[in-house]
Amino acid sequence: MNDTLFTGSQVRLAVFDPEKDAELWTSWNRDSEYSRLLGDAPAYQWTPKQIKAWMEKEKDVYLFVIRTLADDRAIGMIDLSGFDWVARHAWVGIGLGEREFWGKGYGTDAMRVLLRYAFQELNLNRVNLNVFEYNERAAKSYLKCGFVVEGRTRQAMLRDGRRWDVIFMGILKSEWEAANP
Amino acid sequence: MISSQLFESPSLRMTYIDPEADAKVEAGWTYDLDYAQGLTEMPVRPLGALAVQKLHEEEQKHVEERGNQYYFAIRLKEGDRLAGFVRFPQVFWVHSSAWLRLSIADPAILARFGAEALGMALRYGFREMNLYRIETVVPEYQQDMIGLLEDAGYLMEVRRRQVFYRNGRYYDALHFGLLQTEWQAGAAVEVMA
Repeated sequence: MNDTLFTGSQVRLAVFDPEKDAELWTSWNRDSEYSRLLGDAPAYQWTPKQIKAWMEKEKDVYLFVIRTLADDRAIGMIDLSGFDWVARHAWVGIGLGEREFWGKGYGTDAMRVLLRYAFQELNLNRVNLNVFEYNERAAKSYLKCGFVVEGRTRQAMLRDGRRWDVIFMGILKSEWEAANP
Repeated sequence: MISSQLFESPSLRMTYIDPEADAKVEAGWTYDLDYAQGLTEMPVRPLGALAVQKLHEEEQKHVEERGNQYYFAIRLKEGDRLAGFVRFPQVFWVHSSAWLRLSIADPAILARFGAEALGMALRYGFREMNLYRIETVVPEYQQDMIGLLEDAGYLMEVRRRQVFYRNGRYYDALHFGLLQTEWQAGAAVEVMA
């Protein structure tokens, strides 16, 4: 089997298996900091059954588990969703549930693998994301992957007693190709 | 203040959508792909009356079940004629913010009554839904709508490149944001009923 497409230098992207991986998802959700970096809905303790049902329902979400190459440990998730097959773009979301892997290049590596898949295989012209103002570590990682800041919606989030901007980023196929000859 | 009529402006009314009757009119507008863009998540195309009716019925079901969506028809008082729609397709109650979309197909009606319709929608969002912030996303080719948003005090905050494909080329998506404080400062925006 040739799975090099989904393999980076530190991690590989594996299919998310609702049967086995829903429990993993709930274990990450115990860490509210993780949930608050990942989403703008109130952090919540979803049951594995609810998560499994969501994964089975959302057919148009391309969801992967991020696994380390060193010991095949599941450390987070990455997904493409909101596909527009006419203008050829989609949204990417990523989260590392295992915090000991934060700030060590694992997320950046996973994003690079995903972008290669998005541009070389899915033929997307553009990948979108947004990131909360307080998530500086993620923003830095996205810039490293070649994303360009396209603006910020002012005070769009209310969390932990204050308002925060949401930063929008995008990368075009032409930019990705220039950086990955 | 409480006595001012939220669903009425000098020339317009903001009413419920009649899925069947309004769909017959709206279906004719969908040949204009500028109008049809974004009505569904599928590649854009003209829709028949039954398909539009189904969309409206789905929207009304979401209103009942989810509690974070609001849909209105805009009608000219004169002749009780359907002019367009005001949609709040997503309200984020946690963040007191919402997306707003104003759809008016006829450029003449948009030019004459667009500001009034937008003013009524914003008044509803800020005064009744208690929103802190309203966001409207427009393709860069919709110059008339962009002018309306700027006149209402919106600020362009984000330019997502090459998000729309129309007429053989890419166009950017512009995200406009308006804060309640800015809306209140722009007294001209207030629509008196």
